[in-house]
Amino acid sequence: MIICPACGHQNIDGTQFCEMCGEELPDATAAATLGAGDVKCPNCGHLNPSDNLACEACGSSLQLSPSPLASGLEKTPFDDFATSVQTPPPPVASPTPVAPVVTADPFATSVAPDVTAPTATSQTPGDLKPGLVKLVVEQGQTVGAQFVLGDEQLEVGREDEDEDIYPDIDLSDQDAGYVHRRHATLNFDNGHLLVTHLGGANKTRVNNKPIPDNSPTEVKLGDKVSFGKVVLRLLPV
Amino acid sequence: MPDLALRTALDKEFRPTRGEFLQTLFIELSPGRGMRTLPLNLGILLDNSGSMEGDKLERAKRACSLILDQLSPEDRAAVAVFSSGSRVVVPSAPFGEGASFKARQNVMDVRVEGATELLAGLNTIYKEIEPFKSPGNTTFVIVLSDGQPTDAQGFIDRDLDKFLERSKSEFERGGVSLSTIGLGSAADYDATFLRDLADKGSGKFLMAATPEDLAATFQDEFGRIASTVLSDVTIEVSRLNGRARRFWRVVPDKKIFDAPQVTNNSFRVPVGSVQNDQPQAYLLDVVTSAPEGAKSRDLLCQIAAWSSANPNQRAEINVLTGYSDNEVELAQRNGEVVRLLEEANDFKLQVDLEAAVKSGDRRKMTQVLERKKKMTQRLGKTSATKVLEEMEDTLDRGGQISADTLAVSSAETKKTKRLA
Repeated sequence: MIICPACGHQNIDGTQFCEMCGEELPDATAAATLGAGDVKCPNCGHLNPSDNLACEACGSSLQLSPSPLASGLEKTPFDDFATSVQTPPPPVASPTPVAPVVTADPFATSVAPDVTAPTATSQTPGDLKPGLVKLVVEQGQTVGAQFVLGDEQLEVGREDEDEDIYPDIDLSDQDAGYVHRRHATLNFDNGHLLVTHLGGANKTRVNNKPIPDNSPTEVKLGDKVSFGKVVLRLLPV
Repeated sequence: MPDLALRTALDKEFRPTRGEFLQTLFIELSPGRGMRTLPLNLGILLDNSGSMEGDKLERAKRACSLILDQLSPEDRAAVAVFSSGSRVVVPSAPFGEGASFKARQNVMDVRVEGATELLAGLNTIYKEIEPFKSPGNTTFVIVLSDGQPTDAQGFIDRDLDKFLERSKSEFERGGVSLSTIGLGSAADYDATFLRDLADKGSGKFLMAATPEDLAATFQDEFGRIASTVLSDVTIEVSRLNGRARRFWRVVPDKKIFDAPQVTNNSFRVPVGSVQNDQPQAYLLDVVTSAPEGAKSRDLLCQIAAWSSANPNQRAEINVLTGYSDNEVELAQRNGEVVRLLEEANDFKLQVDLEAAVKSGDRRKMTQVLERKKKMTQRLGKTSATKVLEEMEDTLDRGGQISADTLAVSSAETKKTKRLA
């Protein structure tokens, strides 16, 4: 069965578009080009780059995924579909508080042994810089869409040509109904990433907790950030 | 030279050796080359209710007369009007020159009367053309209306199912196709109803936003009907090795057929007429089970097609599927079929959008609009995308999506780019 990432409907293997909501389904039978160290999602079978912590297709955690596929497959792709998958595995837990200088990636121990871990020195909390981290959509119209945080300050919202509003991170495609045109800002300050909600009725949340208006709140690697109903996770690039 | 040619393809040539699996079968039906167009047995049904007063009725009469002018001596036509009740203004007759002149005069003499008793109109026109149906001609009804159907007193008739049932049974049992033209604002004449009425009758629904557009709209549909080379065509699927689910037409326009009634692994679908140089494409979703024993290929089904004029001259083809556990083979996709699947899904999203608009659920409308916009952008349908963007802007501003905009979106979605 293929679980629709948008509505959760169970579709028969081979279905291209969800029969319930029309969302494009991850291709469970796609061979893709197997890269050394590619990680296969235990929920939907999608092949992800080795440094992904969450599946690009369905958002499930890859932290406890099996060994990545080598050129010779050890089992058929359909062993994963022998039983129906009702719910995806729980998402990544928040990392523990970090020291100012960290020599190892806090996520390295929970990644499958053969997977290439992100380099330690560039990914330590307290050492976040523009261009080194990204937000990945876990709940939205396009699960897996990525926004690299490439500037010191970024605006998050929804494009509006009439009002001349063009945010750096435009979430119009993800869920226009609940994202304000000027929803929040993200800025890098002394190696930390801070998110500030700009006062709209639909909240900004960090790890599900709404943050106060106009009050910068730190976001750490692995944290979930929600703008309205769009949920993204901060991950290394 | 055969009347019909069949071509088939599967979206996925191979299926896994285990478990249930969905494959989509593409069926293309093409008319033979150099076929003669069939004589017409045409019925035109005009709304002459009170709301048609003035320019609307005048333009409708002129558009109708223009059609009658173009008929040849092998063609027959009848014209009826409906308001409170219905009557024949041009009895069905072959169209030699004398008949054409008299017929046009009768049409131009029509005046507005009362309500919009469409059911009476349908009964009248079907009865008028019935005796002249034959496998050697194409029998078609064109209905023009600017309002919702009523009873004789003018009260809106809410039981629309009886109209749809009538259109469907006339098509399936009698081979009579029906097209509809909505005149004016879609909010006035219930575009969804006229579209469904044409769908059940295996015809087309067209819109003429203003009376000035009417002549061109009538002409377009008449031109299509007049290019019919085969009428009353049936597709049969037999020896089906799986469960049939959805059956769609995707080219030249989209229609979702009723779920196939499979008996002894077979079912038939009447698909109506085929026009000159216009192939048609259908999609059938089949859920197959794991093969018994080790097999590399097996028969998925047999497809046959024929027209009632030549039932013994059938086009037939066998469809095979492969079984594999090789990821590369399993990942193969037929791009042509996949593209048509996207078109079919675009249509499904349109149906969802109309349901969401009808329910008033703004969140659902926004969600479906987003998915539909992605699909139309992928399909390269720029005018359809613009319409959807207008709807998004309307919702953003807190407004309501109008019936006219929805009808335009529906019309854009119905079209499919012609197969290469």
